[in-house]
Amino acid sequence: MEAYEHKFSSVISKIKQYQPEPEDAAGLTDDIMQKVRNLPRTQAPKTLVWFRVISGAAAIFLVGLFLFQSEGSEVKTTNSGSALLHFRKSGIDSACFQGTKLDESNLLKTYACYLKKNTIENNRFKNIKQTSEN
Amino acid sequence: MQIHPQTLQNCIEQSLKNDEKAFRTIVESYQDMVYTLAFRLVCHQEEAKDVVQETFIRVWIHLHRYRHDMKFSTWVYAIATNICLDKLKSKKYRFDLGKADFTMIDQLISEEKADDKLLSSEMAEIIQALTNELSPKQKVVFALRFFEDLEVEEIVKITGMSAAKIKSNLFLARKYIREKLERQ
Repeated sequence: MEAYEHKFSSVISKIKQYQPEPEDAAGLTDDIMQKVRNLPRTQAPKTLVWFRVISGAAAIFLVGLFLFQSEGSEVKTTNSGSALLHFRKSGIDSACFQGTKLDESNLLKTYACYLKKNTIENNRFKNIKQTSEN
Repeated sequence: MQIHPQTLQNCIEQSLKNDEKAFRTIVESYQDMVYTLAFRLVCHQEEAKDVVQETFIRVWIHLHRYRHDMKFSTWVYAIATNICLDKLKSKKYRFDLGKADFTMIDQLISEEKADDKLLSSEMAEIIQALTNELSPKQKVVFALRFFEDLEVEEIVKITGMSAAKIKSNLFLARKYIREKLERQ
């Protein structure tokens, strides 16, 4: 064990002591500078930052638009499918149209029932109610 | 060549404004450091020179990405290490290395040869004989820890590996080298 440790540290220290140098250090520097001179410097950062901000905002907008649209389409589907489901979704009490078939349901009557139940009445509603009864 | 931190800072700022003279100062200051690391990793003079060139080209191109929370030398080391790692991983390079002569290590230990009389090619052969059975990652970690005397925390920054992974690579590397030295 000790022999190995001695051998190991001896080899490592010899390698560390040896400082390799390129044959022509100045020439190597010149070569590097020559290559660098012909390289186009990337000026991406500022453009990239703006690109990231704009694309990020666009992505958020698109996701928002998608969510908004998909919510709208959900209401449409339920509208054409079941009136009960639609009113449940919109928060109207189902007691207002219980027992009525979909093709027989009168939306205004149902709405009037809902408003009555919740004691929400105004002048405009009265006009609508009269129109529907006529 | 040592460079004062303030001078380095100025040189970086000037280099970002395409000042070639400032960049030349950076190259001259870090060229030897990169060459030494590259030579110890790729064990070949010409290959090491290629690594130096490639490293400083990347430094020039990506200088705007340098963040001051890291030492500049660590950042340069990281670039050079990545280039060396790619070389070590390439099949062509592994094929070119061939078999290393282990008798050189014995000569080195027995001090038959003074350090200053060693040729670059001989030292390359010694390092190669010592590390040729290591995987590229083990070789990189081993060289950074034992030849360059860097702490594990700095190796973490350079290689991007976790401290645990670095320690396990170091353990395995030492195990291989130990077996090799004991076989002699």
